[in-house]
Amino acid sequence: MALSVWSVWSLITAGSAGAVAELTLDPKLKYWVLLPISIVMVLTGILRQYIMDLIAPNTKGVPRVKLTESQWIYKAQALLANGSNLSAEAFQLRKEHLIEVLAGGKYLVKLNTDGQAPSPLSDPNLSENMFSMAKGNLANFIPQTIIMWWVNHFFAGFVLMKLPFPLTPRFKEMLQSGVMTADLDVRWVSSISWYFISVLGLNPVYNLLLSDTESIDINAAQQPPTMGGPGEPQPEAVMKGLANDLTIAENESCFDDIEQRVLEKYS
Amino acid sequence: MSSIDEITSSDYVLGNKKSLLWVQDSTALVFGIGAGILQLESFKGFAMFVVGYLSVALLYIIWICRLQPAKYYQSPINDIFIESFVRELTGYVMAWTFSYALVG
Repeated sequence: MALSVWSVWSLITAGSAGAVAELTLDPKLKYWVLLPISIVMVLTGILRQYIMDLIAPNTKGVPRVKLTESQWIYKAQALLANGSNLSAEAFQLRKEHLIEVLAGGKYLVKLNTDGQAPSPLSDPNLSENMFSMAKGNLANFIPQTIIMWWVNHFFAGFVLMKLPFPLTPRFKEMLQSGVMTADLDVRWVSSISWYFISVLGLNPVYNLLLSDTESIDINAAQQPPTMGGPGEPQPEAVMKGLANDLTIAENESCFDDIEQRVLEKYS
Repeated sequence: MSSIDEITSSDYVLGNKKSLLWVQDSTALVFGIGAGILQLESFKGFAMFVVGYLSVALLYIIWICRLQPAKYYQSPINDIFIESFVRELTGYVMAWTFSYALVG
C-alpha cells in the first residue's frame, strides 16, 4: 500500500510514467539560441513600447473659446452661490457686467452646425481613436509575426531545452515542430516553444523594465469639464437662464451692519 | 458625513494597484529564477509558485498595507490575490524554464 502511494506520488512529481529519456544537449545551445531569442524578445517589447508612445494620440485639448464659455458660466454660478460674501456695491457691479455678457452671448461659441447633432461617425476624435487602435494592434502584431518567422526559420529542427514540467502529448506537434522523433518525451522542446513561453510570460519583465512606479500621473486623468456635449443643456440656454437668475438675484451682504455685530459680540 | 469615506481618487487607486503589481512581478520572476536554479520539476515548481505568491500577498497585506488592505484597495481579495494570478504564473513559468535550461 505504502509502495503504491509512493509510486503515485512519484508519478505526480515526476509528471510522467517511466523514466524520461535523458538527452545530452550541446551547452552552446544555451548561449547561441536561448539567450539571443530572449534578448531579442525583450528588446522588441521595449521598442514596441516606445513606438506606441510615439504614435499615441496627443492628449485631446479643448478649444480655448469653449473653455472661456464654460468659465463664464461657472463665474455666474459662483456669483449666485457666494454673492453674500461681497459688499452690495461689488455685487451690483459684477451682476451688471455678467448680465450684459451672458444675455448678450458675447463669449458664446459660434457653432456652424445648424442645430444638427454631429454624426458620430464623422467625429474626427472618434476616427482618430479608431485609427490609433488599429495602429496599436499593428504594433503588437507585426513584431510577433516577424519574430515567430525568425525563430522558425533560423532555429528550427533541433531540441533546444527541457521543460521543467510535463505536458500532454497533445502539445508535441506544436512544441517539437521540426524534430523528427516519434516518441521523444514532450518535455524536450524546440526553440519555438521558448518563443511561446516568452510571449506569455514577458509582461512582468516589461512592467519591471518600463514602468516608473513612484510617480503617479496626475495629469493623465484630468480633463477640463466642458459644457454642451450631447445630452447636456446647450450653453446658450444655460447662459440665458443664468442672466435671468442674476437679474432677479437679491444680495444680502454679510458686511451689512457688521460693525454693530462685532461690537455686540465683543462688548 | 458618510460620503466623505466613499470619495476615492482614481489616480491613487491606480497607483496602489501599480505598486502591488510591481511587487508581485518582481517576486514572481525572482521565485521563478530560484526554482530553476534549484532544478525543481513539475509539481514542486508549481507548489513553490503558489507558496511564494500567497506568502508575498500576505506579507504585502501585513507589512505594506499594515493589515488594512481595505483602506487601499476597493476589493482587497480580488485585487491582491486573484487579479494578477495568471499573469504572475506565466511570468514565473517563463523565468523558471529559462533558468532551468541555463543551469541544467
